[in-house]
Amino acid sequence: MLTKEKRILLAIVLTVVSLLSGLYVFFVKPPLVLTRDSGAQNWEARMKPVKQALPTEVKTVGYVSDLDLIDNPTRENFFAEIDEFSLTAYSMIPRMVRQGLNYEWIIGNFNKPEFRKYLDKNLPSGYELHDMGFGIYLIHVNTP
Amino acid sequence: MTNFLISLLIFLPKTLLGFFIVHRIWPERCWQTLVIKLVSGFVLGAGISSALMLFALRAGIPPSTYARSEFGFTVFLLITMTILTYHSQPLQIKHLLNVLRQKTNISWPETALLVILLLAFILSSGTFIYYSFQHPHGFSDAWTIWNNLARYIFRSNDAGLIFDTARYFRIHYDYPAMYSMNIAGAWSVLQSDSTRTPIAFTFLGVFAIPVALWASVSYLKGNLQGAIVATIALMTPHFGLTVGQYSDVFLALNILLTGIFLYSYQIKSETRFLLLAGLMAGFAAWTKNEGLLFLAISGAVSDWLVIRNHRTKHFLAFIAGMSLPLLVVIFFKTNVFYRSDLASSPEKSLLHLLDISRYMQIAWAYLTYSWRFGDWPISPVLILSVYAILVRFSAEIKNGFAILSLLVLQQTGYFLIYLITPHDLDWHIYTSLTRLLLHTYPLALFWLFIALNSPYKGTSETCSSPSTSATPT
Repeated sequence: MLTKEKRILLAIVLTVVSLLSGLYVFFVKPPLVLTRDSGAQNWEARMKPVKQALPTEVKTVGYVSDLDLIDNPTRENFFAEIDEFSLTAYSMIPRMVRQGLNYEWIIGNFNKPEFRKYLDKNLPSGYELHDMGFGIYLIHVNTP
Repeated sequence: MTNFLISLLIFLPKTLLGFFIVHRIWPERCWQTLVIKLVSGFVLGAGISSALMLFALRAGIPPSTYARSEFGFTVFLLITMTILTYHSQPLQIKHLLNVLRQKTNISWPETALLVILLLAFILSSGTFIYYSFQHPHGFSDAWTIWNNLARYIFRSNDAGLIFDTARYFRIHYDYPAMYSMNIAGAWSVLQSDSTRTPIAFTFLGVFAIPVALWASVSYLKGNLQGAIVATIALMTPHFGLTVGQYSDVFLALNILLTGIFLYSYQIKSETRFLLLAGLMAGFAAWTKNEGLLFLAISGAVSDWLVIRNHRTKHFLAFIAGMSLPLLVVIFFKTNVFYRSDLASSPEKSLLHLLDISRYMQIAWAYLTYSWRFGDWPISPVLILSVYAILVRFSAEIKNGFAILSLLVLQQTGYFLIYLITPHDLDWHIYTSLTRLLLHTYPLALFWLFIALNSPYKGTSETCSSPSTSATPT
């Protein structure tokens, strides 16, 4: 059994080691998730003009993205889509965002240039396409 | 920073009201018990407030109307209670103030460890605030589950929305709403959905853990032991998860408090501790789905404790504590769309259960993730093991069996879920195991430092026994 003095010394050593280890985690090698940009702030900024352009009475909007243009999406395509769709849905709250084209207003999230062909093929003619920047488009389908 | 500080203040009235309720159940007075009651008050206040908001929404009261009324009423109630208590029992208030003013002769080791603890708190809280401000929206679960629901409630101000899952997007509609309701309520009081509000709420949850460990271990094992465990907890806060604004840290807090109260029952056999343990375990189920598993486990452990004490009637106190929070959970789950993402066919589950390689894979993941937990350059498991070998376990280790059972059974439950998960096992482990370890980590620290010899008792002897309490009954 250690003496009281040795136990006190050991307690101080343990807390100092904890303190130094914490400093290492906080400042020297923090977890990657803390140092990389999650993209959420940028996405909020990208969605701001979309929110402003949408009429206030619109409660539900559609969503279409590059993933819809790919025949065999990879795991990476799929995970990127999950993040970007959920960030779009989060930014647009209280509006509901649903995947698909069966809506009067649709948010397009494209980097691939062939998206125009896809929209021409799948939307009624005469739809309006507004470029909101950063690959984000607001599509208005004119319904009779 | 102003919004962050104002947000902290918004959670103060419900915390103090929760404190009064806990104090009514457990009137013992010394700094350690007052601090434990304050932390429990935060959990209780947040739990009750979110539950009442849920019922108000069901009754058709708009969220902003409810939240602002609740805030005003809580402040009014606190002022009234303080005045009434002061007039009817002035001695109690004076005694309470005396406890806070009490000066003790603090030895040099206690001073040294308190300085280190203070330094650890400044470093840890400063780092949390820095990284949280870098990620004001948290991480993906915050956008898709926790802050997501809060934003719908606040921005729509529609009482019926939460119950009509066809009108909003949330990855898991049935995930408990304690966190989201508190954020939505605070935003309604602020009249702005400031990103600083979830940061402030998470800050309270994250730092309530070392505070609860500090007070409870000081109460049971002396101030030195309390300062050691709190420093370690502050230096292993797992910011990768907590900065993300997830509910896991609140579940970890509920689990820790349940453990503290069950331990207190074990050594004192007073039903009040079972009532409090039941409340904390019940609100764990209202915090995260994993809390339902914990509620069942803590119920079983409480049952075992009362049977061992030959006082089976005491179990009613635990049931009384957990009943109301459990009713809230049942009410919520039956009012929203429910589909478990872990359900799979019995045949597939059986095949998974018979697959030995899955056991090996999960066990190996448990070993490696536990070893790396905290992200220290040298594993905390190794450092704490060396410390434990040197200082040795004390006689109190025999009382720690219930606590140890809680955390072992909870992790065993998670192990079984991994075995039958319909998801890709690698992916499931990668995305969740650190979170699941975080749930029981504070309780594991509590168990370890209760079981280990303390350097010496320090100056907290006056508070270590109920017989020395100045509590009027």
